[in-house]
Amino acid sequence: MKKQILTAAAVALLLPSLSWGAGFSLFEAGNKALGMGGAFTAVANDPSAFFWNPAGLAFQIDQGPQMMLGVTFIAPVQEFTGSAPYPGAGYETSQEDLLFFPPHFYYVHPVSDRVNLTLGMITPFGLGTEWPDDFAGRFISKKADLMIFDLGGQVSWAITDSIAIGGGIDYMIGTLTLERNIGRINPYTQAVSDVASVELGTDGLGNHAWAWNAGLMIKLGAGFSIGGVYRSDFTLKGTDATGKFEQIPTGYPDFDALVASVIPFDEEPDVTTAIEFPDYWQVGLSWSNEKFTLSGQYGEMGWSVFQELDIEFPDYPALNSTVRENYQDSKQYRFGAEWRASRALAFRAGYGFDETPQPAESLSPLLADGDRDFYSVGFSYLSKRSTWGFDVGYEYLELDERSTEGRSYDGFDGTFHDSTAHLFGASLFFRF
Amino acid sequence: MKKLILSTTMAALLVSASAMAQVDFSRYVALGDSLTAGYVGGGLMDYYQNRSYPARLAEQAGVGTFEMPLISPPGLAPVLVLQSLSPLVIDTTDVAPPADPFEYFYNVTLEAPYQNLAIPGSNTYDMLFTTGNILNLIAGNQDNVMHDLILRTPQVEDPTTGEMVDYTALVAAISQQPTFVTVWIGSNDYLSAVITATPLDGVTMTPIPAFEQYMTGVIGGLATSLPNAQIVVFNLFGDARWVPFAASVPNSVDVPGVGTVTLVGEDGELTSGDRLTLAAADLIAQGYGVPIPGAPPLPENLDIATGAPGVILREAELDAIADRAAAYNQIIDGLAGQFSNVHVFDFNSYFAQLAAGAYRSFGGVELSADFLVGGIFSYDGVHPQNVGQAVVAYELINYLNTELGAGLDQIDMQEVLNEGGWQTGGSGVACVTCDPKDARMTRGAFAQLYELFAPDLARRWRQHRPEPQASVAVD
Repeated sequence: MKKQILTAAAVALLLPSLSWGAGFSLFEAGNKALGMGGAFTAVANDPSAFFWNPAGLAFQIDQGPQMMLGVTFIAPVQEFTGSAPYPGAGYETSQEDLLFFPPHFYYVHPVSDRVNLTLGMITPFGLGTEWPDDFAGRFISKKADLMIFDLGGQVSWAITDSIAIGGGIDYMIGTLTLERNIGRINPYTQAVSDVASVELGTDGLGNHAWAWNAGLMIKLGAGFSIGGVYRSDFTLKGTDATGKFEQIPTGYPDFDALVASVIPFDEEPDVTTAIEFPDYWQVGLSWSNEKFTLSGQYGEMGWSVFQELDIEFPDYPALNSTVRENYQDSKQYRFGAEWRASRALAFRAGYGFDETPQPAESLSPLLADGDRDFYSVGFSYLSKRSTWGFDVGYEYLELDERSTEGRSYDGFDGTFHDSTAHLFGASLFFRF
Repeated sequence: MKKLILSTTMAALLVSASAMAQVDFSRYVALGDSLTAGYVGGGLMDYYQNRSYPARLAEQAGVGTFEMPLISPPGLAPVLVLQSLSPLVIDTTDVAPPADPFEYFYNVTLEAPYQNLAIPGSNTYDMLFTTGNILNLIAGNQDNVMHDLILRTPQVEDPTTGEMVDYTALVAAISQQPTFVTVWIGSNDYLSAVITATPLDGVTMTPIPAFEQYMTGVIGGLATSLPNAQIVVFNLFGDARWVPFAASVPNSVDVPGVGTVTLVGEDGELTSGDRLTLAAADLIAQGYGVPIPGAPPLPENLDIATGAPGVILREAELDAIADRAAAYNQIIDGLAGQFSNVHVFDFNSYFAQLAAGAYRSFGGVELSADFLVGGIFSYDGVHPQNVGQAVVAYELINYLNTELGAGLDQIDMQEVLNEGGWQTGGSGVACVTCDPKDARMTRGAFAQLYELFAPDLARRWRQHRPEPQASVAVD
């Protein structure tokens, strides 16, 4: 009797939405490009062309085999001020200090005087947010960590001395961790209690997808080049994932027992999901002479594929959820310049603007994106015999203040502000 | 071209004018029943009165004076507490009321009328006709306790005519010349059908013509007597299936050694569309309704002779109650449409969302109409607790802001969700040896609820009483 009354009542204890954000593309594929604000599609003259424009690799055959490896450290900060009704006006908090370091690696190998083969590893998408333990939004997200590794192979062909194409396939591997608490009104106290913590995550690198890319580069003469790149969308099916539910004792053992009757604490149920990642294309124009390079670029990302996210527990369908995201396609603009001060030293600067795909309603503690302005500088050193060198880049990135405008899908309203990031990276390259 | 510019300017002016339309909250009066009084968990008590939706609205609107008939703990009647979930035991609090009535009803000596004039247990008829007298209560007569306590004076002098008029809740409201009024009345015109599991016209439900007549008196009286006030009328809950009192006890029971069996009522086995009330739990624990030889069936309906309630709402009865609600709501809509200063707040639609588990979340905390764990309802299964009252206030403020341009700040739901109830009941220690069939709402707890919604046996011929006045204005 008791059990049935309570089981009927306990439907309310089931998991609500598990959000997963987006606007999580990364463009940190090389620190030369970073120093130029990523305006590199019509330049593409180092191995990071693997990301920015594979056709550019075909014009690097005279460098012989090349290898590049590097990392970009990203240190983001973000603050949040709440508004009514939840978490209420005057509520303030900020994200934990975080540091991410998406790596990149390329090996470029000429197979003829017109064809280069390239193997590369980049992290084209990533996301990390973390809030304090007592955060008012902990029932939505406490911590999120998403990394997509792209292992790719490309062929680049210089059709003529001034026209090249390139393309390849990408094997995408995803890792994911999402953590949050479950909050319910405790029937004894009639106040919210944290009844459980949930961690959804991949155990290894078992979730994968295929994608492809293609690029074109034309040297127009008089120092001008144009370039274009397309990278396909892909759907990462998260099939190798589990949910871990940990009970948080409320101090009321029979309430805890009721919670335990509907949440599988003693096992790690399988989770499946499918995240759709956007395609994107970029076109750029550059001009170079002996000392200088100037480059401009325009691109669009097809974020409108990211409309909703289904999270399914095949063994516990009652825990399934669908999260609305409703992203829109977004545009970006990039401008960069390089000054080659000497044979060994080059200096760079860049600026870019990246429009957010995220509507106000889906801003959440999981991810609150905004239009981005970024400013970058960098320099390179090339060894005497040109057999090795390194690129160093720094970028300061600023997100617009964003308000949920009282329309948050999660019922978590307020303004995400003072969102900035410092990016610093170094890439080391060798020519054999 | 010039014309076009002018008309555009006009349109812009009109838009800004409607956006700027404001509600004057300087004198706010709330009319209603237990839902508006802040009656929670079977009792009226200051902790919950201060957290009722009218009190929260008054606070957000900066209303200067908003007095209530405050009652000390443990409330009147003493509020219910959750003693244990397993077995489920809901009982009255063991906190004793103050011996001194002036300490118990500590706001009763306030000279002016209260601004929260909601009277637990009252219906549309009462709002028009029922008066109270504090002397009754002092003399120890508790028959009309809520009216006595809240209205206090049976008659007042009409300042224009000099005649003595009945001091009903409606008169008490109008006499304050409020600038803003909320009215949520009518739930008790059919809730008794739910509590007794017996929809019976004229006994547990006010007949539709009578309801229309009384509601005309209420809405017409307010609208015409207070032409400059904004009046917001709530519509009524549309389905008894949404109320935890009639939505929580399953139709089957586990019998050790036998398995799950469907319960039986006097009119036969229950079907999936039928509902048991919370009052059934206590009977089932005693063996009622279990299909074994010698076990009595569950009572279907109100026993008119004894007043004992039924506990089974058959599907057709539930449909009849829903039809009645729809008829009442149609009357409310129709009446409100006749007066430009009367606005209908459709709380019913939010109640439907809560019942369907489709209501919005606050920061990932999901609320629903589920009993005990849904977060909205109190232990009596009928009245909202403080979170539920805050949700009413939240939706009402949204409505006032979007429809009437009130420009009020919203309430802080994080604070509400973290606040908790007045008293924490049991320790929550699981009872490992007790029989799971012990689940019950104690008879005392039910009796208390039943008293509030007692069927209208004594007043069943009320519809033959004199016609109400269309206007009961006191200038």
